[in-house]
Amino acid sequence: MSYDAIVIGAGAGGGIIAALLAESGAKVLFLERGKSYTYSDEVTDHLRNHRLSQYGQNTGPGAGNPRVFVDQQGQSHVVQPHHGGYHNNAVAVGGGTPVYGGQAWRFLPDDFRMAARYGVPVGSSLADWPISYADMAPYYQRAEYEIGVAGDSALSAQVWPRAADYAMPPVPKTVRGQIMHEAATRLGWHNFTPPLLINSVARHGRSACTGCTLCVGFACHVDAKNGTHNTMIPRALATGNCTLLTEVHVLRINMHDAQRAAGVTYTDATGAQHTVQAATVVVSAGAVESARLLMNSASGDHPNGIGNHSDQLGRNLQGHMYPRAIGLLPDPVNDLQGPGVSVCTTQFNHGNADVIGGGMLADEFITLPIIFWKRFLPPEIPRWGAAAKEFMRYAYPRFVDITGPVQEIPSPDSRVTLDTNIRDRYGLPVARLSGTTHPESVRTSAFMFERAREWVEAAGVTRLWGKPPSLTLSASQHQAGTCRMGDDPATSVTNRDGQIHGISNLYVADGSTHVTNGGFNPVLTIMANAFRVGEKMLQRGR
Amino acid sequence: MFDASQYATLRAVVDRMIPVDDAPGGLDAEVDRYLLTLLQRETGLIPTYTAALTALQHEADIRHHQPFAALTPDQMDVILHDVAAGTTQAVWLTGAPAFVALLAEQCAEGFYADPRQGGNKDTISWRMVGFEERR
Ligand SMILES: Cc1cc2nc3c(=O)[nH]c(=O)nc-3n(C[C@H](O)[C@H](O)[C@H](O)COP(=O)(O)OP(=O)(O)OC[C@H]3O[C@@H](n4cnc5c(N)ncnc54)[C@H](O)[C@@H]3O)c2cc1C
Repeated sequence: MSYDAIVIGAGAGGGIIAALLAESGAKVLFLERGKSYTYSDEVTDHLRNHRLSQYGQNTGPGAGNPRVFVDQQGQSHVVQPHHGGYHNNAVAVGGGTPVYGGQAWRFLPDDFRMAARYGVPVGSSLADWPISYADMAPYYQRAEYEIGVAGDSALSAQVWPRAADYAMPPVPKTVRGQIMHEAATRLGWHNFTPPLLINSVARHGRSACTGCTLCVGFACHVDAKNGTHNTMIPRALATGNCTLLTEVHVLRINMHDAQRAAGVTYTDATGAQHTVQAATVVVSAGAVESARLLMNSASGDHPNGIGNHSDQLGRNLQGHMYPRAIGLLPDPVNDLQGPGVSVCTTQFNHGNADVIGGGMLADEFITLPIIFWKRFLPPEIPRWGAAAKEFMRYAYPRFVDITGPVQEIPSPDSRVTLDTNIRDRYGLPVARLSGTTHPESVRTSAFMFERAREWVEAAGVTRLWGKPPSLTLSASQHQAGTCRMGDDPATSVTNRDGQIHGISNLYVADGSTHVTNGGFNPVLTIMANAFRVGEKMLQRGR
Repeated sequence: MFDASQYATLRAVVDRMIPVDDAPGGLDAEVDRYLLTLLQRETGLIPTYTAALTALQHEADIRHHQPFAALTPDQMDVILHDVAAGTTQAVWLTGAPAFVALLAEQCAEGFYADPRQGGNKDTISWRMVGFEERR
């Protein structure tokens, strides 16, 4: 069987590429290892979801897909998908998008030129993107409209140059959000309701968010959360040109010759292997698995993996560090209004004295009681007995918290390699995650922690706690960077159009190509870039 | 999975982890039932629990010549604090302080997570803290 294109991974990036290609008339084979995941599959388990994966999660990957995590002492640990060291993102049709929170950030102009603005710290691989905010702006707008973002157009236009309003008005402010808005305003900080990939009003045949109390980590009960699973992937399928196969795992990319991909070999749910040909292959398996797949596709011409001509593949793995400050207000503020996150500031994304970059700060999605217990209790509060219970009863209705993604300063040593000792259910070497982010990320996080504290304090809290992040490997749901794009093949994996250097018909379109990951949640940038890469492919005649 | 006296000890520690005050406690929320449900799925934890419950019984026996479940709440709390601090008198085959931390965390799961997992009966804890699964 031969196709015009094969797209590997039906996530944020892959869903968009598949739709653009299929709508142009191309015959697309779309391969996803997860299942379709909608609210009818949701059992709503507070301990096994993508917000708290204590014993498992609500989407895949299932058994037989371990990874190896190397800690800072150099000790290797075999980890399962729900362990922190696995750095999982959701595995389903839509990738992370059916269960994400949907914060929908554009990166700022300076996020695309971090090295030019700040210089390159010793030991870091900080670099500029080969493209600018202006190159991305039209595609951000496409993502905001075609997938659907609700936001405060007037206030955010003071932060980003933008040509048009958001597709929908912002979600409502919670009681907490209103208090934190007033606190930020007293501090003189520009603040607004964060943009979300959530229907604040009914749109495109799907209903508006009901403000329910289970949002991030779960499928939406009224399908008001906009991801690729309910926008671009249905568009791709509606053309009749796209064949989506689920529960199929791509094992390797096959090469025709040194400069051209031939297609892929995948295994279906029964374990049967299939080899298919295509004129173009697109890798959109997420930052960890895209790098792993390219490495597992090593051949005589590409002995260290496809795209690894300069020992760059798998390096610069990055995510975000999250400083968090929590405080208790004198009176209850818990109005149970979802999605919950309703105020943010971009005051400290850049221009901070003595640190590189910065990050966005916001309040939080609605927080389940067990998550508050596990992650938010002050260290000195006992975990059992009368005092523990009393603290939960007093604090849960009164807490406010401020957190946000800090722009990471990438390190080439934070990386994905193959672990040939540990194999997945198909016998392939698993991803081995090792290294840490650059120490500068920790310094910036400490600075951002102080700003979070300042904001919580300004709300008039009676108690305040939290601690700044320490040096770790950071990837997980915001994983990015492993197939860096750039103009110079010596320091990058793909060119500015997502095409792997030296291979004319093999593209990467997911978080892997991010040179840096912004001081924002990354998905809108992954989506915008996929629109851009898809358009370049069409301009080239695929 | 547990014999009668281990189960009695389990119920007694659940009551000390999340005691009754003017709101219902861990036993009212059936946290013990949550733990049994959990251990059926996470069978790797069973040896830890059985060893620790037996060791708690020995602590009670050495100190008071009584079954753990027959002690007063204050006597149980003293033992649990000692175990959490590592100052045990019985032989512990499993890490004593780590067990108290694990027990506290898994009792909190049974109390504060959703009732579908076997605990938090009638959403007792959610009514206490003001949470509701509203769709
Ligand atoms: C609970 C949660 C909350 C989040 N909240 C936000 C948020 O508020 N804002 C934000 O910006 N981001 C958020 N994210 C992150 C966001 O979902 C990711 O940034 C985004 O999905 C990454 O897109 P991607 O295209 O790189 O990869 P993915 O979306 O992960 O897609 C990759 C797909 O490839 C498939 N795949 C992998 N390997 C193979 C293979 N060998 N064969 C076949 N298929 C394969 C995977 O199953 C997956 O479906 C959240 C994520 C989660 C889980």
